[in-house]
Amino acid sequence: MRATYLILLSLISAISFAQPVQDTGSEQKAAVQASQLSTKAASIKQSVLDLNRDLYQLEEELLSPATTRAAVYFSLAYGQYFEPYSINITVDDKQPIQYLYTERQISALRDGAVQPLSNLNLGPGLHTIKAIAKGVDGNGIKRELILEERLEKLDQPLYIELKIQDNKKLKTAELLISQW
Amino acid sequence: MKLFFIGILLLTAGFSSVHANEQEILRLQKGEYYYHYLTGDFPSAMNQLKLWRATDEAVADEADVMEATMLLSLGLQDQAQLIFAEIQQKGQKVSALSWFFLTRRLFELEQYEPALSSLQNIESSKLTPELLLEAQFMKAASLIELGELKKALTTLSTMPRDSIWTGLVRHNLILAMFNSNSSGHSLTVLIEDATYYLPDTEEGRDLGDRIHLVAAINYLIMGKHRSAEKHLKRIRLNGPYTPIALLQYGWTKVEQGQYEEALQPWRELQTEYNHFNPEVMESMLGVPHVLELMYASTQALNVYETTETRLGVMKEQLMAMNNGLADNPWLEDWIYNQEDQGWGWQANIETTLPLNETTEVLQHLVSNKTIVNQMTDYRDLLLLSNYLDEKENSLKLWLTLVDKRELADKSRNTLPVLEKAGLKLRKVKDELIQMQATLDSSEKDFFALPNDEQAASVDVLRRSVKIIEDLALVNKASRDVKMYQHRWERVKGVLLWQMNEEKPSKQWGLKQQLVGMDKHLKIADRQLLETQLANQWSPSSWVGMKDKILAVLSKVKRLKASTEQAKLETKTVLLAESKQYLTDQVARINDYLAQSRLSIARLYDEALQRQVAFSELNDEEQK
Repeated sequence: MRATYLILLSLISAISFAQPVQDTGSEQKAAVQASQLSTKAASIKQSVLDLNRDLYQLEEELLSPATTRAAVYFSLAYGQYFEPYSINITVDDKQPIQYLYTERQISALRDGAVQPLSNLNLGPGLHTIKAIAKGVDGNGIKRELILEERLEKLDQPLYIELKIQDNKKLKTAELLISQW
Repeated sequence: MKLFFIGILLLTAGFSSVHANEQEILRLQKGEYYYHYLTGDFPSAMNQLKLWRATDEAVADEADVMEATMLLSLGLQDQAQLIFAEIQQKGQKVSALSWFFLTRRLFELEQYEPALSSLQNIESSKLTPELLLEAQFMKAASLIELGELKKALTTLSTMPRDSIWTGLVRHNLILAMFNSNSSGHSLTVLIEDATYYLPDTEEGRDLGDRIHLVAAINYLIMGKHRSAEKHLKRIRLNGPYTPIALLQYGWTKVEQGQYEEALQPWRELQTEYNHFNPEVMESMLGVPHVLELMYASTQALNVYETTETRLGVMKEQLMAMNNGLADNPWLEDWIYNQEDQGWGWQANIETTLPLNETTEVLQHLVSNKTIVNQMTDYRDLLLLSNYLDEKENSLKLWLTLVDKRELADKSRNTLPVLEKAGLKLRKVKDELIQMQATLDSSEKDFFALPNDEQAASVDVLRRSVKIIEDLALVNKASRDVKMYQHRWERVKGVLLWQMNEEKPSKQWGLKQQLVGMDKHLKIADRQLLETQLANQWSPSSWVGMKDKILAVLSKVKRLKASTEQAKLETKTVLLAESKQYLTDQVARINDYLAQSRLSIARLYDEALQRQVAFSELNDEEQK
């Protein structure tokens, strides 16, 4: 009985000594394979990024060709006297654009980011844009900033920027529009 | 000469206005990039960046830095490093934040020397306090890894005492000191400091437990059982390090000869935790071993036999699991259970596997960093493959749409409609001109602008002239024509008077109507022009689009094929590693089984020997 016990014990020891040597070889091989696959994955990610750009451009062209494209942007200068919660925009009382802001987006806008709000399709000629920005002023009181303006669409893409800007003299904010 | 100057001035003004417009559009595009970047939409930010840098050469330097940061954010550190190296060579100015992100990625990749040299480029004052602390941690930790403990201590002395980052530096330092066989008062003080100054957060408490565990295991190795026990007692009973702490606590007690006290933590371990947990498995053999040490051979034998049965069941379970692993969706379940479905380095990945029979065994596999990286790669590839599928479908839909647009545009036949509208408009314009002429001539014409009644009266007057003339020709003595002439003249005078009185108001009314008509005509004219323009523009919605879509579609298909291939390869490797892990677990159980069986055999043998010896003794006594 004791002899059997000893044989078994020595067998287990032999297996456990042999295991690490075998493991080191296979681990190295696995590490090389993992690294190769990781490089391949990185290269695919890079290609997807390039493709993503192509798709983005194509979709832009398909959705709104340059002749009718009008891009609406939204920005916030300083933002001390007004914090927007939402914005509602209509062009010619149609094509309503509504957007609710998250804290992260407001923080990005305060850091100088410009939000691409929407791409519109506008025919040639004059159009009326109406915008209402809802939010709170510096004292936490609900406020609405309203704007109505006429725009002219020519055969080139139209860039429209709606900007909430602080008026430090009046200690208030105003909604402004620029177009290029 | 004057005309020439005016011309030049007008040209310059026009040019500067165009330039100002371009600058404003560039500002919007730059702002859009920041918006996507700051809100975490990295692929869109990358698109914007590429569009933006294509517009102007002058912004290329700044875009370089942004692109490198973006690539880092997406986990493409090799491509990012190339750009950073170029930036350094060119001596371009790079923001502290970009250097910070590069350092963070290099540190994660365990490239400590490059991480330290990248750290040197960070201007500390430009980082937020939290990021600055993380940078200090990376510096101290890299120095520790490179064996520069004194420099690491100097960095540590500049950090606030109660930050989690400081705690992490102390933890790494403790590990390094144990590894270099340092001991004594300074190490004890460091451990005390490290656990005392931690913030009262879940992360802080977990780190505290880890420091106690590290200290305890090292003290156990050194044979300082009392010190080890002191640290193990301070580990919480509901933390991530509880199982190993319970196991080690038992062994500490065994080493001190307090066998009964060793059994309680192990029973706790076996009741509360998954039986595939390595600590639980070890305790399953530990319990009968301690019973043996307590000379409770029968109980030890019973426990060994129970353990053998349990281990046998576990082995069967593992082998069945291993055989069916290829068809088991545990990996996909893990991917689709992630809250963050974005890909790339900054995706917030939860490494805990969703709980089921397979994952309770495989959970320990996820503690291996290489495996986690591979799983993350597989996850990214799966998400990319889904994204490409989606895009392929939408491109096919776009193709149909463009066909429809072409068909609709060609069958619309707008030219005759527009020509007809143009003719109508011209006719109305002519009528307007005629009316204007009537208005202009109304000043000289006495009978101008009559109303219906007046027109009838004028007509009667005209007809009366002929009658009076005829009467004059057949004049008779009995007929006084002069009376009729006077009467006619009186009527004419009254009519003229009436019409003259009403003329100014009629002229005013007509003028107003003409102005209104002219306004409507101008609007109609403009509308016609805009419709003609829209008609000219309409082919831009489909002309040339088909070829573009087909080109992108073929690109998508190629990329999809290589993504599928890489996905398959990664899954095969992951599957092989998971199978290997399960095989190792089976080997481990086999080992435990062998030990149990040997112990059972030994205990039976000893009992037999004792029985033989006892019967021999009895026999001798009887003799």
